[in-house]
Amino acid sequence: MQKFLVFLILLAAVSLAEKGRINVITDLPGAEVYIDGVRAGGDSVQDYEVDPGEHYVAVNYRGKRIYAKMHRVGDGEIRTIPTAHFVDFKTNVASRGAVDVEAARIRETRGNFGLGAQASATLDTASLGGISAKWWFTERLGLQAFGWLDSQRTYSGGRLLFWLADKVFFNAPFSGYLYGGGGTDSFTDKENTDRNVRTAVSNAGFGVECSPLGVNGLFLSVEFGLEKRFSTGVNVETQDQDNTGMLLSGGLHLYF
Amino acid sequence: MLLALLGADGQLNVFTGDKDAEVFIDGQFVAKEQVLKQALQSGTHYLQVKKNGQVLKSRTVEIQDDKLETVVLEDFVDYKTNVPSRGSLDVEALRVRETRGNLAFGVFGGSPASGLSLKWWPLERVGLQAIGFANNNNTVRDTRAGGRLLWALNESVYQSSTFTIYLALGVGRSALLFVDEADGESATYDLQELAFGLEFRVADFFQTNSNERRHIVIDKDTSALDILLVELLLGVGEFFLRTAHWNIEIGAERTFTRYFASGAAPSTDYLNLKFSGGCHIYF
Repeated sequence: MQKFLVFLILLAAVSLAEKGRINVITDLPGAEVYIDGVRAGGDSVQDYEVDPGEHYVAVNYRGKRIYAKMHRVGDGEIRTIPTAHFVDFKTNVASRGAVDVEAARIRETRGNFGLGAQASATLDTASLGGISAKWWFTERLGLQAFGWLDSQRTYSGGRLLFWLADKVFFNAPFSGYLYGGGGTDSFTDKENTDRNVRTAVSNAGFGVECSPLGVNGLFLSVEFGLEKRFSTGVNVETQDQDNTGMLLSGGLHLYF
Repeated sequence: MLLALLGADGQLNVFTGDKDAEVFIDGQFVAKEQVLKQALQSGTHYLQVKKNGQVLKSRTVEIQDDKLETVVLEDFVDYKTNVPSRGSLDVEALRVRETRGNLAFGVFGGSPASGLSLKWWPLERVGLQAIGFANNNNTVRDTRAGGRLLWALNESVYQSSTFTIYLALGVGRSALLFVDEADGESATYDLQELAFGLEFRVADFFQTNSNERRHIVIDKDTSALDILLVELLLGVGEFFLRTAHWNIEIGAERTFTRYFASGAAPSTDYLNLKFSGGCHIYF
C-alpha cells in the first residue's frame, strides 16, 4: 500500500514536470547531432524534447567528434546550443560618418580663411607663387589668390578649389582637394626691353593640406598637377613658348 | 516508476565515444560504445570500460532514486583560436574601407605609363585608375597616359587600414618625341599589361596608429625656429607614412615600340616581366 502511494505521488510529480527542449545549431551541412547518444538530427536540431536534467550533446562531422558537452535543461526550459565557433573582429578605426562630423567641427575651429605663401615649379622652370590668401566660402568651394612683385618679376594668379573630403590627422583637418586656375608670370627688364616675356599660365591638379602642428599651426599643402604655359615677347623664341608639363606646388597657410 | 516498483530506483547513461569499447557495470557486460537509460538500483555501482581485454576507464557511480545519471568517459578536448571568422573580417574590412574612402590620388611608377595617378573604386571589387604625365617643351615632347581596370581579389584589414590584393589590366601609350633628331630617337610605346598587386599602408607595419604626434626635444638650447622646422619636417614625413597607401605589383607587359627618326630601327614588339608600384592618399 505504501509503495502504491509513493508510486501515485511520483506519477503525479512526473506528469506535472514539464519537458524541456533542446535546440542545436552547428552551421555545418553534413553534421550529425546526438543527444544522450541518440541521433537527434542533421546540422541543426529544433525543439528536441528531453526530460529536465543533464543531457549529453555531441556533434559529429565527417566521422569525427567536433563537439561534446553536458547541458542542464530545466522544467519547460528551451536550451539553444550553438556549436559553431564564431570570432568577431573589430578594429578601433573610426567610422566614416563620425570622422566626417569631427573633421567638419575641427575645420570650423580652424577657420575658413588662410593667409600664407604659395610656390610652384614645373620640371623646367619656377612658376607662380608668392603671398597667398585662401578662402573657403562654402563647404566644398574655395578661392585662392597669390602674387609676387619685385623689380623684374611679377607673379599673379588665382584658383578655384574644390574640396573632396576631410579626415583628421594630428588633431587638425587633413583635406584633399582639386584645383584649377591660372595667372601670369611677367619678366620685365626696363633697361633691355627685348628680354621682356609675359607668360600666361593655366594649371589644374590635386592636393592635400594638413597641419603637423595641430589645428592652430601652419597648414602645409602639397599639390601635383599639370600646367600649360604660353609665352609672348620680342625674343620669346629663346624662352618657353607653348609648353605643358607636370607641376609640383605647395604652400603654407595660417587659418583663422 | 515501474523501476521503483521493481526495485530499480535510477537510470544510468554511459558514453565512451569508442565503437569497440565494452561497458561493464558491476562486472557484467552491458553494451558496446554507450549505455542508454540502464536501470539500476539506487546506491553505488562500479563502472568499467574495456577494450581488447584492457581496462580503459573505471570508476564508481552513485545512482539516486528516480534520477538519470550520465557518465561521459569520452576524451574530447575542444580546440579554439581567436582567429577572426571570415564573415566578421569581411564586414569590418568594408567598414574600414568606407573610412579610408574610395577615391585616391598619388603617383604611380611602372607601366603602362608613369606619372600622376587617380584611383576610383566605384564598386566593392571594381576600380579604375588613370595615369598621366606630360613634359612638353622646346626640345622634347614627353607624354604618357594609361588606364587600368582594377579587380579586388580580396580585401582584408591589417592593423587599422585595408590590405588589398588585386589584379590590374591596363593599356597605355607613351610618346617621346624630340624636336631635334640630334637630341634623341623619337618613339612611341603602345603598352598592354596584366599585373598582380598589393596595396597596404606602411604605417600599419610599425603599429603607429595613435592620432597623437610624437614630439622630439632636440636640446634645451635649440632655438625655437629649429624645433619648429624639425617638427614640421618630421610631421610631413610621418604624415605621408601614416596616410599613404602603397602599391607593389608584379606582372607581364607587352610593349610595341615604333621609331620615327629617319633611318630608324624597325618597330619592336616585346613581352616582358615587369614590376611597378605607387603611392596614393585616399579620401
